[in-house]
Formats: sequence, structure tokens, C-alpha cells
Amino acid sequence: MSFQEHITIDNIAFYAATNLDTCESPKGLVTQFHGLYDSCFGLQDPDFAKRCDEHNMLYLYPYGGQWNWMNTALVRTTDRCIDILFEKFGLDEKTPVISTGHSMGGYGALMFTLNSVHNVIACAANCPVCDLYAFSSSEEVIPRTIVHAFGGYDGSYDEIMKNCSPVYRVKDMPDIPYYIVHGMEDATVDKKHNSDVFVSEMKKFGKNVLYDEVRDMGHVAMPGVNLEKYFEFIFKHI
Amino acid sequence: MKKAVSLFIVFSLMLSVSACTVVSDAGGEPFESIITFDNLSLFCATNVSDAENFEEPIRGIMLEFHGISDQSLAGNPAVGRRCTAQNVLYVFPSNGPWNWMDKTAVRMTDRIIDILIEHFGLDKDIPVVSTGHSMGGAGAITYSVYSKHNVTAVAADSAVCDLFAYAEYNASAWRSIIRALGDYDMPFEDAIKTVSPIHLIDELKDIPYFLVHGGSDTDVPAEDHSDILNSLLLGKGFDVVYKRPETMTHVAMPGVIETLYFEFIFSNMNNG
Repeated sequence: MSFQEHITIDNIAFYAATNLDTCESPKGLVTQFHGLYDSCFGLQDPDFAKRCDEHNMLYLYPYGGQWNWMNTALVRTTDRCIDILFEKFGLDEKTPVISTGHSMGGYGALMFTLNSVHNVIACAANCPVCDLYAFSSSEEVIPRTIVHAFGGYDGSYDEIMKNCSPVYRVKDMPDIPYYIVHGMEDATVDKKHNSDVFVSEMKKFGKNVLYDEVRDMGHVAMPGVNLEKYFEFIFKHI
Repeated sequence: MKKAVSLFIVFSLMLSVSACTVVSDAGGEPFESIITFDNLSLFCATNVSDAENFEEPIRGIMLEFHGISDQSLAGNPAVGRRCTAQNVLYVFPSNGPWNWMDKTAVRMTDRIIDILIEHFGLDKDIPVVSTGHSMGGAGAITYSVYSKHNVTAVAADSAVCDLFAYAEYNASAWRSIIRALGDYDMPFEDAIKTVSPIHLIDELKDIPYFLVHGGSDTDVPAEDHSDILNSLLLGKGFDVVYKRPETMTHVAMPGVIETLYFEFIFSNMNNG
């Protein structure tokens, strides 16, 4: 029995917010990964869950914990929660999954496409950290969050940070559609050194990326029109 | 038989060569080498600036592990000042809000102590007293089991001593436990037992323990935690002081007990 098998349909609410009680006849699943300081308990984004209901999609918001940086524990936990939901609704293992998130969770959405065992068919990331290696020294608070997430990994710091940075993993990113949105006034996660570099590299490798660069947008909070485009991308793949 | 032994030796050599290859493939310094003396303040609060001017030799290191959900890096300046007055190094590792003294927290705390030993030219066996409150109380006890350093005593305030009991009446604890231990390659219950003090009873060191737990603690009830650990430690014949003020709530130690708590900590260091 693996560690994650402790999570069941009866206790999944301890580990993630879902729409399992309101979603009817789901055709797929959308994950939403949270940001760095989210206290993660309860339904943090009811609008997102409701949109999933309307599109017959399961919604999964894993309580990854502050400072998780999509480490191995969160990948395994999320994969386990998906398995449980698929089993509950009689969905097969090839059921499509769409990976989304903002800030650290946007980073997480990108990294989940690389590491999940599931059939991730698209990814939407809002103001993602794309170069974790560089970001790890961008603010005084960040280094200890990185250590908290990856301190149990074996390997050198440089090697681990590159392996965990989307900009260094472009070649390995699955050939699926990506939607990146980033505020031009984002002072928390610098657009130029994150999404700009990532999107440019992805295009060089012929990856399918849509890039929404939003004027007058800061960190994460999207204007309505851009939010609608973001959700349009998420739901059009089913 | 000889053939079997030879095969075993060859197999063992292959395994060790293979293990070496994995290590060398990692390349460069290990992950924790990111922490250095120059950037130590990004990972823990200390009184090192005071310690640079101690007139007497450093007597030991006091670790203070924080409670659940604490993300701060401020530590407890009043405790830092007590340590300074005693020529003791104070270290408050910022191990993360949901760390439960997982292997990362142990590894990083060990690294911080290595750095301090090197910087101040201390004996590698300098006494380390492991302390903390609530989740950090559990951490203080657990750290004494896994640390490579010379932990000479443990002081735990309102400690979570049984993680299963804690999670039973605090459902939100499960997600913190899975955050801390979710990459352990073992069954869930076995993993929790590696960081749950009463389940570590046979691994605990024969060193002095100071437990304090309020009789009015409703967050972490004494009867489910320190009462049980105290009995188990006494059953092992260990040196235990247990204070249990009836009106004390979670973590809020009365002044008179606090005085004893710090006397205990400093008495388990050099010249104590």
C-alpha cells in the first residue's frame, strides 16, 4: 500500500476542494493549483468550480500547502485524487485532464504536465514562475520556500533547480496546447524573466503556445475579458 | 558455498559501485550546500551577531522549532536575548509551515548547525538542546532521534506527541501531514510513525527531557499527548521533568514554569 492510498473518496475533502457533489456526467477534470501563501482549506474559487459544473468537468483544487513548488509529494497526492475521482465517476485512465494555476500554482500547472501519470491534454498558467532557478534568489522569502519543497531531493542544488524549472525543461514539455497569461505590470513574478523567456523558448521548439500579455495587469488578477479568454481555452479542449 | 559467497561479494561490489555512480551523477555540492554562513539569515533566525562578541566560550546551541502554519523568519527575539546572556547560540530554523520535522527539516537543521560549528570553530560535539512548541514540540523530540549532532536534552512545550490522535480531532492536519511526508516511499501509517514521538519511543535517546503541557489545552490536549509520552519515557527509566499547570492553555507557559524551562535548557550545555 503506497502512502497516497490513504486518500479515499470518503476523506478526499481533507486533501482537496472538488465539485464532486455538483458535477453531473463529467467528461474530464480541471486542476487548479494555488499560489505560495494560500492557506488552502475550503473552496477558494467557487466561480471556477461553478464553471466546471457548467461544462461537465470535475474540478480539483489540491491543498498542496504553502511553499509546495509542485514537489514530488504534491504530484503524487494530485495524481491520487484524480484516480479517486475517476473511479467514483467511472471514468477511464485516459480521461482528459487540464492543468491550471496561478503564480506558484501556474508553475505547478506547467510542471504537473511533465510529471503526472494522467492524460494531461492542455495547460493554462496565469503569471507563472517559469525560471525557478533565477526566481529562487529573487526575494528574501523565496530561498526557504525552495528548501522546504525540495530539501529531501538527492542531487546538487543547480541540477535540481534546473530540473524543476520549466524554462530548462522546454524540450521535455509534452506536445499539448499551452495558454500563458501574464500581466505586464506584474511586480511579483517578473514577466520578462519568466513567461517571456518560456514562451519564446517553447516557440523555438515548435510547441503550441498562446500568449496573452495583458496591459495594466499586475500579479494574477486578470481583467474580465482576459479571464473569459482564459476559461474559453480551458474548456474548449473537451 | 564458496561460489555463492563469491557471487555475493561481486554483487555487493556492483551495488556499491552503482550507488557511487548515482552520487557522482548528482554532480557538485549537495542540495543543502545552498545554505551558507553568508545567507544563513534567509533560512533561520539566530543571535550570531551577538555571538561574535561573546566574551566567554560558546556553551552550546539552543534550537527552537516553530508551530504549525508559521511562515515567519523572525524567531523569538526574547529567547535569543536569553541565549546571548548565557553565551549560547540561538537558532530558530524556518523549516516551513507544515514540516512535521520531515527528512528535509532534519537535513536543513543539521546543515545550519554544521555551518555554525565551522564558523565559530566549535567542537563537533558541542551540546545542542532541541526545543519547540506544538508542532515544533513534536519536532524537537523527533529531531533528537534523527540529528547527526550531539543533542543533549529536549524541552517540549505543548507538544503534539501522537500525530494520529492530533489528526483525529483536527481534520485539517491531514493535508499538512501529507505535505510533509507525501514523498516517503512507505505506507501512510509507517510514515507517520517516523515523526510521531510516542511511536518513536524505542528510538528516543536516553537524555534529559522537560515536558510542559497545560491542563486546559484544547488544541492539543495533554491527556492525548504529553501525559502519554511522559509515562512512556518514565517507563524507559529516562530522566523526565513534566510540568502540567491545570489552567495553562496551548503554548501559554506561566512565568514560573518558563523560568524552569530555560534553567533546564541552559543546564544541559557546557558548564551547565
